[in-house]
Amino acid sequence: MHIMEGYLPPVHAALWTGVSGPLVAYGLYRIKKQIRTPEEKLKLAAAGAFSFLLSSLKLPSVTGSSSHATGTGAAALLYGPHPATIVGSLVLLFQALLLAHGGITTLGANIFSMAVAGPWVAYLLYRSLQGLSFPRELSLFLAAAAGDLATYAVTSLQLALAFPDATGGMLGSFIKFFSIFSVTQVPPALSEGVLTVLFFRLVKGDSLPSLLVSEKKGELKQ
Amino acid sequence: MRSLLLNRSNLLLLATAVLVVLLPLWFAYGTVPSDLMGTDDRAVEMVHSLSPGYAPWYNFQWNEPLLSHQNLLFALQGALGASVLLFSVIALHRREQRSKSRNRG
Repeated sequence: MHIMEGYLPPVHAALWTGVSGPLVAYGLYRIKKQIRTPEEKLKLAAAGAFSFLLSSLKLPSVTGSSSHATGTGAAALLYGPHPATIVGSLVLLFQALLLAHGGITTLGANIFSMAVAGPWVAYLLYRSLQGLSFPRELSLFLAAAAGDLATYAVTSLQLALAFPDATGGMLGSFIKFFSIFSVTQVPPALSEGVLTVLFFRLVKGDSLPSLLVSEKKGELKQ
Repeated sequence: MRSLLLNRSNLLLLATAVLVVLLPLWFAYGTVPSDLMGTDDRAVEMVHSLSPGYAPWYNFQWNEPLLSHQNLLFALQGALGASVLLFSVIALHRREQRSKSRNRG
């Protein structure tokens, strides 16, 4: 889902940077406020490492392309979407600076797809499924997989907005870009869902219910 | 600790995660192809076909000489992630066991 360096026109690059910048700033603020105990710090480090690991694996697919998971759902399901924004941004920054994968000009757009949209989809879906009393691990699996796929849908949308099809317009272009990602991305997304369940078993991720409670408390205080 | 990290159902999950990726490949090709093009590069191709005049307007990379070993750098990223993940998970379990034994005592 990395849009490569220079592959968004300057106006688009600037707009996405303008959208993502404040969200990154707010994410930093939330991490400072929310992550305090050594346990919480260790769990956040584990979630960050999980995303580093998953996004480094280029997985081959039947479509003849390779793609990779994002790993940002774990942080979102552990601590909510705002801390996950920071986790995803760090991965993307690392890859842009060191690996020439993605880029600085497209960092804002890539942060929005992988570190904002994906985590929010995962987080909201998890909450809805829990509201419908789905089993917890099934909810984690579905939420993480959906967050992964949503990331790629948003990337396709970003590219379609910048490069509309001459005949089909933006919708035609979106379909073209999404068809590159969609089928290829299904196995990595399912894999990410399963690994996210494993991740939660390893870190005993019972934080989300407590996060929801503390969030409500925070709201009451304000 | 070993039973927590490496019990049967966790290993089963890990195997499932790997098989979800590998099985479709085996069914389609009978093997795991090694030199596939990334979807990110395919998207770049699509940009060029949709807007033939487009040229990337910014391209600065300070570590150009390293990039011929891009796979190695990806492996480095994975190794970094795996080791921090392992460290954190082990540290979390140690803390938990310590607090458990304190409660018992």
